[in-house]
Amino acid sequence: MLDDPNEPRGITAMNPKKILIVDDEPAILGTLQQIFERSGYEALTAETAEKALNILENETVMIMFLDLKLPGMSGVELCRRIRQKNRIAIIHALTGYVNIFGQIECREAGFDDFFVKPVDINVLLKAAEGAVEKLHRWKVDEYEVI
Amino acid sequence: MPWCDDMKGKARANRELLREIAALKRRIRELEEMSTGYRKADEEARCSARLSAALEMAGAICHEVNQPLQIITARIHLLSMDSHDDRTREALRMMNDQVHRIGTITRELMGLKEYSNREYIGSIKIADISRTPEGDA
Repeated sequence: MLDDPNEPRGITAMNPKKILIVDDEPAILGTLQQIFERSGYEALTAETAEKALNILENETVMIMFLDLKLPGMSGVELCRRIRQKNRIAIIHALTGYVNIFGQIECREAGFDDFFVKPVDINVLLKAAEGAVEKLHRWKVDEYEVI
Repeated sequence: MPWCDDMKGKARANRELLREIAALKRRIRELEEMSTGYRKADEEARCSARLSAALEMAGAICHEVNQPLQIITARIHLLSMDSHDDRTREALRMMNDQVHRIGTITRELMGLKEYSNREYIGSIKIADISRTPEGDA
């Protein structure tokens, strides 16, 4: 998508089907990227929280899937940092293990939902579709929201 | 009279003795209750330590096992997208079902609320992860 310099950033920079996947397991990252791209999404990927934050410096992404266990900064801390700048984005946690205390921490950090691996790919695609639909209904692309 | 004084003295001594016996019985009861309390607390501490260790182990297993399971289920999905042959799709569906069967076991491990074990083979015992805790549906 090419940016039109005459249009406000909030409209031009946002692809409603752009997602960010963060996971330290390259095989998960690569496979999910292929699946989402074949399902019509633009899928950006990062293996660490730090790389994800670098991507978000230059890209407007409103749908994210973050692994909680990352080397360095955790997925929970990454979500907190993202929420400081973006309160509207729909952020999902993907984790290999979580208990009720982890779930509470996720909600406090600003996650909208979380999925425990191995999660059915159709469930992830449905979550992404639901997020696209919500953002469209909220008319997020009509405002400079972040 | 000396014999009368002697009787009174013995009666007083008996009453004193009975009071001491009653006090000792009370003390024994208190000590027994304390001992039962200590045994119960000790057993609870041991159960708690066992559950804590089991939960830590469960967490490690879930994390390590669920990662490759996620890769397998995602690869199966990709293969299904390309496969138009019914037999292959059926085989992939079966494989996916088995992945989710293992996933269900790891979820049960994550939901462990109390530690118990069950007989396996001979004298071997294994942790009972399928046991529904009392009070749960």
